[in-house]
Amino acid sequence: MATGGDATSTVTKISISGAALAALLQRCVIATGDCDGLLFGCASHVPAPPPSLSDYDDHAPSPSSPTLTISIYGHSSVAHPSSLCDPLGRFQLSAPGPAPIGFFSSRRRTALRPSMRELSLAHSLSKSLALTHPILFLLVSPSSSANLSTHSYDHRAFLLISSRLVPASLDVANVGPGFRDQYHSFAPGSTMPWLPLPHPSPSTAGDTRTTGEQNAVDGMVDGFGLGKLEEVVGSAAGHSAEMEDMYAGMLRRLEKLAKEVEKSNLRVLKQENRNLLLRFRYAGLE
Amino acid sequence: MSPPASTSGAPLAPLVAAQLNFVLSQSKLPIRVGQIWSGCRDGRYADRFTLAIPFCLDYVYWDFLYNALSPKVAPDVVFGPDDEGFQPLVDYDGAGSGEKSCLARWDCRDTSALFALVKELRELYIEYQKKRASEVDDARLKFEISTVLSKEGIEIYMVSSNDRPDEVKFAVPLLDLDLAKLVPGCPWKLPQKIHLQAVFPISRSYSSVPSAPRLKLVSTPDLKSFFSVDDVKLPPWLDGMCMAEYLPNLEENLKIQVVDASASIGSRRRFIEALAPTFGRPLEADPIFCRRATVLSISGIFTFLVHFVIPLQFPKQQPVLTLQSSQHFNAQGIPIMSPPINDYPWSPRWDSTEMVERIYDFLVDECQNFKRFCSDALPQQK
Repeated sequence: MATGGDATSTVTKISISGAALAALLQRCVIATGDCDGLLFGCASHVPAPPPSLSDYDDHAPSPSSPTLTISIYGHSSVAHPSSLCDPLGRFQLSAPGPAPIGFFSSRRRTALRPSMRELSLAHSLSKSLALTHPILFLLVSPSSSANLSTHSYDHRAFLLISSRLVPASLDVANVGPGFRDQYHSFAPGSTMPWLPLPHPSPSTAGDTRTTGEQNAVDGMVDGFGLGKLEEVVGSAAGHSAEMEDMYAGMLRRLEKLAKEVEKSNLRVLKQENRNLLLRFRYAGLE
Repeated sequence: MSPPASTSGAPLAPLVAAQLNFVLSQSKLPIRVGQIWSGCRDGRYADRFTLAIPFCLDYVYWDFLYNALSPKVAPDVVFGPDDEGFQPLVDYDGAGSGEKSCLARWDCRDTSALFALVKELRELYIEYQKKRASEVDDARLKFEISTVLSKEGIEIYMVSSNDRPDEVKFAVPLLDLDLAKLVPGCPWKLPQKIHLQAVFPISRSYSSVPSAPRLKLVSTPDLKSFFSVDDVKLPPWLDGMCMAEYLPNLEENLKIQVVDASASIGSRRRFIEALAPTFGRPLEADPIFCRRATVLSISGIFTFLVHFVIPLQFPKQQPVLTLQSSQHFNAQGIPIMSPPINDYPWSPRWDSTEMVERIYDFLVDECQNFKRFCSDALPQQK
């Protein structure tokens, strides 16, 4: 196994922001049955800190070991059971995208132990992704009491270490001074192109930009040319009007996106209901 | 291996129910269903259940998880908490033999699909446990496993617990004969078997002499009305013995006793048939194992029933008689019964007609005692 091995000696810290966990649990709860999906985020290795010097000789220095930090930022799921793999638990890549750090599986009212297929999927995923850290598996078991007065969202994180899924603790990072470290260590990933200061010779400035970069900017601001953006960034001051213009463009873009999402969500909901009816019929339910 | 909780209310989804019923009706092993529950959001259809699957004279409890609203998705299985090393699908992937699995061509409309899955997983589990046991570092155990493992149907279970030393349990099927053929008109649906359970403690030290295994005969429950393994005296386990030495002797011994048990049915039948000329035709009799018969008797105007319970060791042991009055009832309206009687004159050498006549003679006097017993019992109720 490519992963594991070294992971036994490292301390692993897994964290998820409260909002990301809430979104994930919401996804699991609204699914009609079980569901699974991929987890995204980032993992970073921190080498072992040098042994600290202590004034007190009688106190043995605590052995320090390298730390692996895994942060979950979000998930993707089609809210359908076994969507990631075949019946034998072999990973099937549905759409290309950023590399996941692991996967989650939600099954209602079941034991918080990896199932036969989840274990196989973890192995298969680990093999096909060839990550530098152990695959993360988050098992969720939502349940509710008969009169729906109590809802439980039991969950447990596992890491694939030496071919076994070993339970690991999951920290929920919330807003507040206690979690400042996590927020300070957050490194945002953005598709925004890197904009160095404009070249001294203006003749080559326009040509170095690719259409891909322009598309990335278009994804965020409507009707704001890359050249214009470069000017804003490059010049010292006095472009506040331009900046205002850019933010307004960003807001317009967001609103447009929100409307599109709203419309498409409605279509998805309608289609899901149609599918549900077909599945009911197929399963011989009324 | 604790038994699961009881079943919940929602009905099983039809496709799942069909597969589960097939398992329960077709399996040659006594598979039982534990808890049944729902994984749907609205909880209207049950689609997951715990199966108790016989293994090594005990049960393993596995949760089978279907999705009522995604009928085409093959079920997933959660094994017991101690079996995290059992990874059948990972092993398939490693060996590249996944296509052999019934999961590779799962058809939710095939009612036998779950049956095939349970069978496949159980076989893999037996192999997994054998592998675990053979990895134990114990010279005696390694030898035992290498010598008896070839015996067909053998199951081995590695028992680890925190508060006791580790043990390896063997379940060795004995007597390669169809026991149902020894019983005319046999009603058994499932094949009946006698197993030797041998529990070997794992010794971590090499110096000590390995202690004898704990030995016990275990039979399938239906067999008890024909042959009781509790009555079998096991041959002693000598120091330095191994199972390959022990088994032939035991099997020969057992075979003689099973054939005797089969002959005992015949003598019990002759005894019941001999009741008719003296007592009149029995009201009720067990026609297959001939363990029970009831006759109606009259002494003067006192009418009573005589229940005969005929032991497995008949004619060495005499039948147990119980008298039941047809005229005296206790306060709850239940007929008054005598205590079981088994100390009347008896000899196994008598022929069945004489046995019956001697019992009749004994009862002529005994029924008067019983009549008094009934009359005495009545006023106390008032």
